Amino acid sequence: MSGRGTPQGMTEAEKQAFLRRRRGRNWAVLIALLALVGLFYFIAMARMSVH
Amino acid sequence: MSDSAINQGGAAAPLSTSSELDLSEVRDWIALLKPRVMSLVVFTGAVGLIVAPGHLHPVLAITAILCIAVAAGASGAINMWYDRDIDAVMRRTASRPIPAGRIQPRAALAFGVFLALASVVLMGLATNWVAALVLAGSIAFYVFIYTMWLKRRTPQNIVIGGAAGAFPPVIGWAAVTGHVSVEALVMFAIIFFWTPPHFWALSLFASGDYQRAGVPMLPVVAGARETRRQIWLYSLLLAPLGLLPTVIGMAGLAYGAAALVLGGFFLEAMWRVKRDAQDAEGRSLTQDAPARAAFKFSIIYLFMLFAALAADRLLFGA
Repeated sequence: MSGRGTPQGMTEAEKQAFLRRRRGRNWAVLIALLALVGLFYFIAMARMSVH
Repeated sequence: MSDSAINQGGAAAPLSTSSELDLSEVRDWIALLKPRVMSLVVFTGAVGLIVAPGHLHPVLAITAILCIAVAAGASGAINMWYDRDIDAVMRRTASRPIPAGRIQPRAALAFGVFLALASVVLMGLATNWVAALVLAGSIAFYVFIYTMWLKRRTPQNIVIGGAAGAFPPVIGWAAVTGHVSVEALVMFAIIFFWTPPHFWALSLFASGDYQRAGVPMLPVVAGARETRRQIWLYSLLLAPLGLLPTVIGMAGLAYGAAALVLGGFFLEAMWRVKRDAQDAEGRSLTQDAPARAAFKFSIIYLFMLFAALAADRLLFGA
């Protein structure tokens, strides 16, 4: 498959695409973690209001 | 996630510490969750929450729906991990992230297992442990009973495996009430009997794919004519079953009228499948046009039936 192998074996364009994909994944993980923190906060508030 | 995805070094850090570079994009991980299937799961789960007697704080209700969605996605990811060999030979699934080589199988499995556990625990913490238990049961049913046991062994895979997709309204109901009652089981039964005609309509025009992959779908094993007959028989069961919520007093006459009309259209669509022009061996002479139309309509049918159930509850408080 094109692009598979060590980073050193990549062309400059492939390397840039690889870094862009990794940045995208890292942002997605950050957003998911922040959303989870927010969700736990609101769940705690909701459960306390119920009781 | 994979090694490179959790790499803390930013863009200037070594690109990967593993021998396999992670070539995935965010959309590949989303694709693992089968978002198109998820929409129906989320919708029926939400209807279960709406029609259940009682009240759930809106935040907890949204969390419950989120858990149902994530659990469905987790099941889908584990299914894609297990089925990666047959996905690779089916035209419809060959471009999925695992067979296309963009996500490593073990990463997909870890992703699915993590999401499955997280959704069950979150459901338990946010609502109650009965709902969490049913949610866990639905994941286990889809992964172990359908994916690993039935799918490759019997042409009835869809019939029994269809139960996995019928769980969401039961989970929604349990999230509100803390138990599973006959009303929840009626919603379960509607989706359970809807699944065979829905999937067999698909398998009629995708049977070549299933044959290549060695999946014993009904058209591959018993032929198209027998599949059309069974589609019709299940449709005959489903149409009156759609009226059951009104019969048991769970919904009012408005829902009953909607179910009657929708059931009529469903029967008409499936009758066209049964009467499709076919050669001596049952192969369609119309490129399965009625099956394609019936497949599309079956999705609309379930959406509208459950929408009618929710509307009946919200508008008339039945």
